[in-house]
Amino acid sequence: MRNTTALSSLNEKILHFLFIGFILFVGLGIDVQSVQGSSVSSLEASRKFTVSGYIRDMATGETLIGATIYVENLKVGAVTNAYGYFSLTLPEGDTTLRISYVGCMTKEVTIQLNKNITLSQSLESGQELDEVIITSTRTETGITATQMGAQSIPMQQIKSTPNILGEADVMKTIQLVAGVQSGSDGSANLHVRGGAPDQNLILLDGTPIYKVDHAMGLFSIFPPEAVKSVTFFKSSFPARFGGRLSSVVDVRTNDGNMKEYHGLFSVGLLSSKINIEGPIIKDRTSFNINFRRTYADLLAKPFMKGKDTQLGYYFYDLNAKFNHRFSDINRLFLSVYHGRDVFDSEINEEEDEGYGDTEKSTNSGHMNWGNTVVTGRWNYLISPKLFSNATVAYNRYKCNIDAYANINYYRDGAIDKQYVHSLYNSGIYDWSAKWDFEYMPSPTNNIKFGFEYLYHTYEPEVNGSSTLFETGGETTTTKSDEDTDNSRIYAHEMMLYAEDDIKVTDHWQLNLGIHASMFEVSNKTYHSVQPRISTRYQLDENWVAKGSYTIMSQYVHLLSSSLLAMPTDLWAPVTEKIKPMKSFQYGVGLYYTGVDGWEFSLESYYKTMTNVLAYKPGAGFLGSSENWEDKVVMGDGRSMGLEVTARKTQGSNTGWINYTLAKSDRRSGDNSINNGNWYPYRYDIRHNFNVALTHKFNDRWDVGASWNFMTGGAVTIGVQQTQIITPNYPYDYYNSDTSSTYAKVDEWHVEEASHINKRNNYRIPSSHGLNLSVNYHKKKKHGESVWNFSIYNVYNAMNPAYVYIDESSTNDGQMNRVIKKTTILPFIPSVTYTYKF
Amino acid sequence: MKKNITNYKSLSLLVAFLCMLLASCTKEIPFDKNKEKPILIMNAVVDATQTSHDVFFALTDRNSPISVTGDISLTVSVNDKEIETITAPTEKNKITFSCVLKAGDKLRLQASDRQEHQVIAESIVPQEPKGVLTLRTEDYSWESNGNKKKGLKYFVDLDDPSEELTYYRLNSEIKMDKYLTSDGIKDEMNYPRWINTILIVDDVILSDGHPRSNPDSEDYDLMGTMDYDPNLMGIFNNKRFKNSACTLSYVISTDEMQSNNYYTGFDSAYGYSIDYAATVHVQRITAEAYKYFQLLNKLKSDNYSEMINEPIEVPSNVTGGTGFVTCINGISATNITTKPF
Repeated sequence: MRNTTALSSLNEKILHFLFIGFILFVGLGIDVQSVQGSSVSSLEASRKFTVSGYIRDMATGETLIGATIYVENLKVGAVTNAYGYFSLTLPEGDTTLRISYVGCMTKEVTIQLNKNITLSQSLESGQELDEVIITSTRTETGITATQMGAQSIPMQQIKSTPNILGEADVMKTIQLVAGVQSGSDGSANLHVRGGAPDQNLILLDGTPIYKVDHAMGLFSIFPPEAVKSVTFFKSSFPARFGGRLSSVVDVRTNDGNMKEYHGLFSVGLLSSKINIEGPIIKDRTSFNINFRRTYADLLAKPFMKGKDTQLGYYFYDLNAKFNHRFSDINRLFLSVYHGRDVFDSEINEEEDEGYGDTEKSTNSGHMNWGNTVVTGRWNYLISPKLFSNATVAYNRYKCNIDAYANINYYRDGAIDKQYVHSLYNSGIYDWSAKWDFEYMPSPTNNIKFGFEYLYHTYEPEVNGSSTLFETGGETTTTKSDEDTDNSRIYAHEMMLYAEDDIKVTDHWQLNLGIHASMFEVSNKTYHSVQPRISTRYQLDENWVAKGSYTIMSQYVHLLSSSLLAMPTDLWAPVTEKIKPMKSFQYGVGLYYTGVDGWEFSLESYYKTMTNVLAYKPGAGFLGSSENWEDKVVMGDGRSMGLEVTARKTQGSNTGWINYTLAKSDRRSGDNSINNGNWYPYRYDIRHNFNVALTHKFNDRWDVGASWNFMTGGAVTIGVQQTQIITPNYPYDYYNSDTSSTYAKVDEWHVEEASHINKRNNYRIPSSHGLNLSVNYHKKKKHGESVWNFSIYNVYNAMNPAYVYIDESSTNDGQMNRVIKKTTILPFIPSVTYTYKF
Repeated sequence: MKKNITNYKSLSLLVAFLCMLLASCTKEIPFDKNKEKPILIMNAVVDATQTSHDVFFALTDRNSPISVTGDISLTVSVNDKEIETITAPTEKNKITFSCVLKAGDKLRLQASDRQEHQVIAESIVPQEPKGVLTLRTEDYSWESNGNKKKGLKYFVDLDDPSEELTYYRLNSEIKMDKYLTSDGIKDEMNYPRWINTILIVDDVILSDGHPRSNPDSEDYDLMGTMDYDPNLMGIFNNKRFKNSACTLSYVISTDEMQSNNYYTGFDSAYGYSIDYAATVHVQRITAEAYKYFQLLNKLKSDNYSEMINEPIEVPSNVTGGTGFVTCINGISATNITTKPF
């Protein structure tokens, strides 16, 4: 067994080297002749100067992420970074820059370049999603990027994609990207290329978020009104990202209008939202505040009046951002996110215990959980070619549960009282500091480097309780509060990275990166060095080929009850016994842009994972973190797939259609699961087909539609019944041979049990569903009103959220077992009114 | 305990409330007939200290295991030598064969029915514990909800040094006999009163590192489940006493035994005494059987629910069908203690 493992490890290493060799040298070999006489070479000949600055929206003063600055005659360009900054070093002379951005009018600026120039420009909003020619090595997403598997999700697409109760949702739109699955119907989880939901690095203004959903996974914490841009990576991750295996979702929030005060309020069936933005000091300081709250609790209240059971649930989000521009060299940002889910319950019961005795009880509970994130960032331009961003952040996820039981026993005219209070706390607290640098020495090189330090405090679980008994006038009190400090785990995490995006020739681009990380917990230190290599080759005007090889490492695990995103799901760090997870991903892709306004891509990947956790048979994680290491087993994972996407990026119809053929499975490191053989991953979705479309009829009407089909994942259920042999001990057992109630213990008998021959033995049925939304816009005197009518699951497909065995007895006493599926999201219409001013 | 139930209720209510808001509905999925063909089940635990052994048969089915139609043919081989072939109707779903086995023997059971289901299983007879086994007892009492409870604590001295990782199973049975203390005449019993509920309290080996301070103390977590599975199967290994002797201990509640057997306070008034005749068996089991019993501990635990726990695949070592066949080999010791009411 050991020899086999060693051999397999050796094979894996050889495969890695061959693949890297292929990417580096095949590309070089193809293009070695085309280097001569290229425009790249000509750039080196004359004196050079740098033009740099910010690109902003003319109306709001917001910096634009991903705006393109292109020099037609030199065929070089740059793209603004996450802070709207660009730098382009060009030969001396008159130069015309074409500046463009999706949804804005393209602008041309001619400059005389005989010295370094700072050029900040504002773009005017366009009426249509006009064509934007993105021709730069700098962009990290799309076909022109060196990276593959990276996509910028247009905010317009997010806002137009219909969703449950009209709540446009960032994560739900990402679920429509090829290679991404939601797992179960309605969930906001992301399963990217066979990965688990805890393998996604979800960043809010650069800070990792641990709990990204509300309502146990139905909604994400990102209201689109507060979001400026969303970038999604599923392979060839830029070197600055690390700490998760399967994907990166980089969410940036709105900075706030620098020119005027604006806002919106929105009233829907589920929630109401308000967004206000404006300048504090015009063109210097601005703010953006967004608040959302649901009111299911308020709507349900009248129906529960006078009832024995009182339930209430709501969630809210507050996003606030302030920024101050000292100059084009210095800029300061402060962003705050605070969101909570709150659930209250009270149950009054009265039970007649016979003989005139009565038990009256009141059980009440208060649960609240959510994130608080505070991020401070400082942009500093060290030189026109060297941009820096320093970030300090505090991030907290906390779950509190308080439960009370007040029981009165009425017996023989006397009252015995019992009062119980119990509490449960868990959380994770991070302090982090990082400094990122971007050095742009020439249009053919873009170098990024930096470091990050995180101080983690894990508070996996703190329980406490107090009980008071009052009997016959005597009172007994017991109290058990666990010491919070003792249950905390402290960890240090450090990362260093560097990457260079190189335009080797006119046709060939290369992105070489390295990410090194260190994680120290409980006197145990882990290190990891992760190379990131991507290459892009322009085969001809319309065809592009890409390849990538990426290693990722992860030091935290989410202990969850797998079905729902429970508030008690716990993040736990690696330990001496539980090693960090690692993934090795290979990808190749072919892209075509020959049809006007369309992009076509075919990507395939093969990903292996090590030290992936799986729950041992019978293990349960509902709220318990104690001895969690004993409940899991480390093992391997592998996934492979083929993704075909057609994207329409221009005109009144935009959106995408994609199909994914994938396979993902797992294997335990010992024989505890499926005798150590490969078994399908729970979210092994073989076929997945998505359509996401928006159409704008005119200024008043636009529609959005999404349709999804996916084959079922795999679950473990006993479809048949079997017998197991067991000793009589310890149950009372009627022995018909001896007519004794108690039998001798060294006797054996058989009992009925579920027949489960392997993990994830049952395929749940396929899911599909159509969602539609229609927006009606009307200009008002002081703004614009928007009516949104949406229908989730238009044709009421009964998609399974989960399946289970239901056992019942027939009239003749026979057992009847059936498999049942539960659908939680049937046909749901909704209407939302929004007023923008 | 109450606190945990209360918290559990809060979480359950949250799930129920959200499902209610989203108008969940349930529908039956038809069974796939092609994927649920019945297979033959064969189960046996063959105790090498006995000569008569039962093998249980049935067929898997959707609703409940069903009896095999017609005869079953069972061929027993030891060390690749056929000992006997029994063809018998399976009215009780059980065939008994006789065979003397010793440590190191390879037992092979091969069975088939008329529907041409054929199954094979093999198991090696483990060594019996090498050393001496003794059983001692002493009085034991503890507080439970303000009441004092009485019991007996048994100590099992096991001397079975082994360098290798060795697996065991302990079971104990206690037979009660009541008699008048004055004349020593045993009470007439309609049937033997066997008690086999032992309480593993402060024994680190038997509790696999989860000792308790009190037989009634329950270490529950938030959801009202215990942090570990109680060792209902009485299994243990020698990780904590490799190459040396050890003392195991367990408790029985004499109060509970008396009340379960309808002994009343009147018995005390008439001057009755009780003999507690305890027998302990310590058996060596295979690593495969240890894993099997570990999963039975989980399956039979109150902690376990198929809805919230990872479902349990009960191991099978039966080729061509399903079930579990294993050999065990052990030694026993007895202790008789007399206690007045």
